[in-house]
Amino acid sequence: MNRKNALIAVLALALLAGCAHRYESLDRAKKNYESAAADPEVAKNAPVALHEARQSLTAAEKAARERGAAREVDHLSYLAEKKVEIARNQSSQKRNEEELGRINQDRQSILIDARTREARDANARAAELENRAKTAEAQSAQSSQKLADIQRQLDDMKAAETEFGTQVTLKDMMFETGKAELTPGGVRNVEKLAGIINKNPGQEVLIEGHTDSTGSAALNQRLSERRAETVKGLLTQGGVPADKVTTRGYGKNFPVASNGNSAGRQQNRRVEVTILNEGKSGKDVERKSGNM
Amino acid sequence: MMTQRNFLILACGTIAIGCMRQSPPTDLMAKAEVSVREVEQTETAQAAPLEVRTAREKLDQAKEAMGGKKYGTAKMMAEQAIVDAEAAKTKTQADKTQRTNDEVKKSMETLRRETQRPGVPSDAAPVRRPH
Repeated sequence: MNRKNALIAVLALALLAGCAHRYESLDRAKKNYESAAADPEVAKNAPVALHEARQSLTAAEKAARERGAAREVDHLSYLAEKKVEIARNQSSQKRNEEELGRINQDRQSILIDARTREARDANARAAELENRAKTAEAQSAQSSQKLADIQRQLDDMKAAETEFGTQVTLKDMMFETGKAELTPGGVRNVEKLAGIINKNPGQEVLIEGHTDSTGSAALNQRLSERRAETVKGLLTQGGVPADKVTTRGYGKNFPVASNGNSAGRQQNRRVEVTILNEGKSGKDVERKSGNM
Repeated sequence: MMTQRNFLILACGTIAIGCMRQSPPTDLMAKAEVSVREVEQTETAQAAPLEVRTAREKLDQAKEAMGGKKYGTAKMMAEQAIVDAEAAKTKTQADKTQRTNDEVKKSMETLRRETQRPGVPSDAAPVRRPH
């Protein structure tokens, strides 16, 4: 083989080698690029960076086709790979920024919701309180009206509101001295009371008899009970249902005035008739202490 | 007939593009200098120290090649230094926003929980984006 032929052979081999030569770096760069380009998020968020990567890849492929030096192909493939990485980073950055924006919106919504709820709750509470106040006012107006009406009809009997209902006090004067019988005036008053009670059908009545401290406890106990029963008898005669009336005698146990003087003792000798509030029964009320 | 000169040119063209005459890539070198300095002086240096050092080393190699008039090599090293710096920078930023988002999401959960009970926090300023 002469020198010329040897040269041709070498060149031919070089050409062949160039054709068949695979550049690992290029293959890798190509795969990286293709996977990034196929990712819709990257394509959307970093198109420019992706394009630059493509350009480097194209240059690398061109160098490979033209059988360029491995160093050149490797270099261009490296650039392509790095540019793909840059595109991915930019894409993540953009995605994170968008997510942060959404989170901020969520935050605003949550705060607005909470504020709205808070305001609504406050309004509801205020409305409820106002309602209650109005109802209480109305009820109070109603009961003071009722009380005024009752008081008007019972000239010499004291009427008052207690926690249990409307209480009418039958003074000692309405009874015969030391007895359980009512005087004619007392009878008239109790009949008037019956009329008032009948205006509130369904509401129960509690009759409580009290005495002063003169005499024995047993005697006073008995007297107070009998006086309460006398009043009940007259009320039922007046049309008040018997099962709605409860009687009790407390003797001298619950004075309202001092037993040391005559006037006080007279005050203590009394019978209290309570038109109980709706829903209350005489059986529920039992005095156990000195409290009225 | 192949002369020796022709053969040399052909060989150069086939085997090593780098051996062809090129002009000094001064603009590229300047750009590389700026890129590498930037990542060295910002948070990227702490967040991605290895990548930043690689970029610096390649820049140094490019400068050396420039001194030896090996402009092909200088160009390659400078180009690589630039993409290395850029990759490090973008990665640092992406990681930072990811961490911010994670923290914000956590505080959102707390906010959600707390607004179920009475006593809502009054601060309504949005979270600042990192820049």
